[in-house]
Amino acid sequence: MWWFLLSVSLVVAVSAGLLLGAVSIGPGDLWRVFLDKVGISDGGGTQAESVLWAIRIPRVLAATLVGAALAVAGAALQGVYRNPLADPYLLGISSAAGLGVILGIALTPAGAFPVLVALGGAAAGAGYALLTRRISAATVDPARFVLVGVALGLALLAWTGIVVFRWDSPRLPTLTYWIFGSFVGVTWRTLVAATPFVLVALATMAFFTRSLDLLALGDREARLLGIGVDRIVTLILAAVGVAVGATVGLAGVIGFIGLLVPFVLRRAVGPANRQLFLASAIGGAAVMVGADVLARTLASPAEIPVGIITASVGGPFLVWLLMRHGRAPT
Amino acid sequence: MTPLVDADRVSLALGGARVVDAVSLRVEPGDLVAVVGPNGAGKSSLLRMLAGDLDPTEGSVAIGGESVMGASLRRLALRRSYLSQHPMTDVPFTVRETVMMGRYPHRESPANSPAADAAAVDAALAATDVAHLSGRVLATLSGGEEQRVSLARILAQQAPVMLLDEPTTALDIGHQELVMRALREATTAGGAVVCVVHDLNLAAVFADRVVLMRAGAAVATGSPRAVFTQATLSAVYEHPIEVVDHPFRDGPLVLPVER
Repeated sequence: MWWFLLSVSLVVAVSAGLLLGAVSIGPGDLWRVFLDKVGISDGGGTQAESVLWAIRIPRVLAATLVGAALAVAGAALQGVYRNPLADPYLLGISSAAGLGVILGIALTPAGAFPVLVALGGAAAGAGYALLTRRISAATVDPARFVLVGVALGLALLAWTGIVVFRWDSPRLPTLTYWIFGSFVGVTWRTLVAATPFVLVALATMAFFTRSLDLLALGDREARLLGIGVDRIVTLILAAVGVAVGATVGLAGVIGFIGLLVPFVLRRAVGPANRQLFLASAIGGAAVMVGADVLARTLASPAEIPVGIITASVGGPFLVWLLMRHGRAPT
Repeated sequence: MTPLVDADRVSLALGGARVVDAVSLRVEPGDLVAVVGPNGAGKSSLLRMLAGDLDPTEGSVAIGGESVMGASLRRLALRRSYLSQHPMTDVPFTVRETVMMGRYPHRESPANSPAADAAAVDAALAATDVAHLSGRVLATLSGGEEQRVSLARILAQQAPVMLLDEPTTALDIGHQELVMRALREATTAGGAVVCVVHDLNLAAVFADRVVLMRAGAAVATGSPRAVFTQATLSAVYEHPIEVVDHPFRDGPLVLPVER
């Protein structure tokens, strides 16, 4: 039942993402673009078809990828830290990746293939994600751990702001992008640059789902059952950082997907990480695509940054979570 | 014959204190050994070193003829199971799912199968009287129920050597007997059990041998009847203790008396 609902919600969100927007597009246009691209017809060329191919399809694919990556990254972090508040945005991983993305932009010549942007985000994200293990060990208390992450994330965001204002380059997105993210700038090139990083990272996380289940018993118990806890946690955290970093390179910093989606779906599909990761990937993609549809239709023809949509729901949700689980997260 | 557990003069120094001092222990297949002694005697540290969870400062530990130090975690998990004193907290999985985790070390064994996993889990759930809780989430259980689930996970692991730190502490008297009988049963199939217990009368009834520890040293090792004497126990526990013949069972009955 849950799987059916998740699949339907993704199909509905993707359909809305493709069809709704400033330019009116019908299912017929979608079909014609498909026939054109597989070489059966060459009837492309209408405005609707070019909007679909050049803007809507890469944008919906990017939102699908980013939503899936952030939600699975959140589920993985929550598994590693046995903490439902562990989220790539709250822990500061997204903000750290933002600085890496700026470095990638600086190193990429104008007009070049943007792989260094994704790489910069992935490397900074992974480096910081690995650091969170030390922060966790030093803070012990789960809520304090997240609080330190939030503080570090804010500091990293401030440094990003300094760079953005000091550099003042037209190649650098505005500060809003580093706070609330956006799919406005997505192109086929940026999507292709980010996708391999995200897919490899997701595959790495998926490979360790059963080991991650055993971590629920505690690191020590898992080790006694034959799990190389340090090695596996290192690989999972690196994969989380790479996935999140590559998404920041693609669409900026988008919060709360990694917190909200796994939390809700854990109640639906249970705590086993194999099912939870798959459900989070589908659910995260559906929520992200849906949020992006709202972002570009609520104030049309203007666009609201997509992170405003996710934060407007995620913020109150976090408050509820803290009120309910703040003292002893379960 | 190679002993299942062979600890040779193992010592552990922590912060300048000698927590375990040159303890040797050989455990053969079929043995049920109880490690007893007052609080802080070094029992848990000894067990952790036997399990490879803690490296001794001096001495060596071998399980099934292979040193535990430097052994791969998976090989170790196939040869020994270990129940720690720490309760699991907030585990979101059901009882059955948690017990199934004990099968993790077998996942790549060619001889293993889903049917073998299910059979081992079923047997372990029954032996610890938690089959009726199979579908319950672990975090919703009482302390004693949770301890029996942990024991079920250890039994499902089917390692030839079972190392258990206070397996009966949170259990009622009926379940204490049940669990000790299950451990005894496990040894009859060629396995061995080393457990830390505080209840000397359980040790007296179920153990083949007891190791009595005090201040890190093994002060006496032997059958319960040989070790549990009024003089030895009173000296080690620093409390007057009487030892009489158990009126209904074969073995001594230990009774603390007023000073």
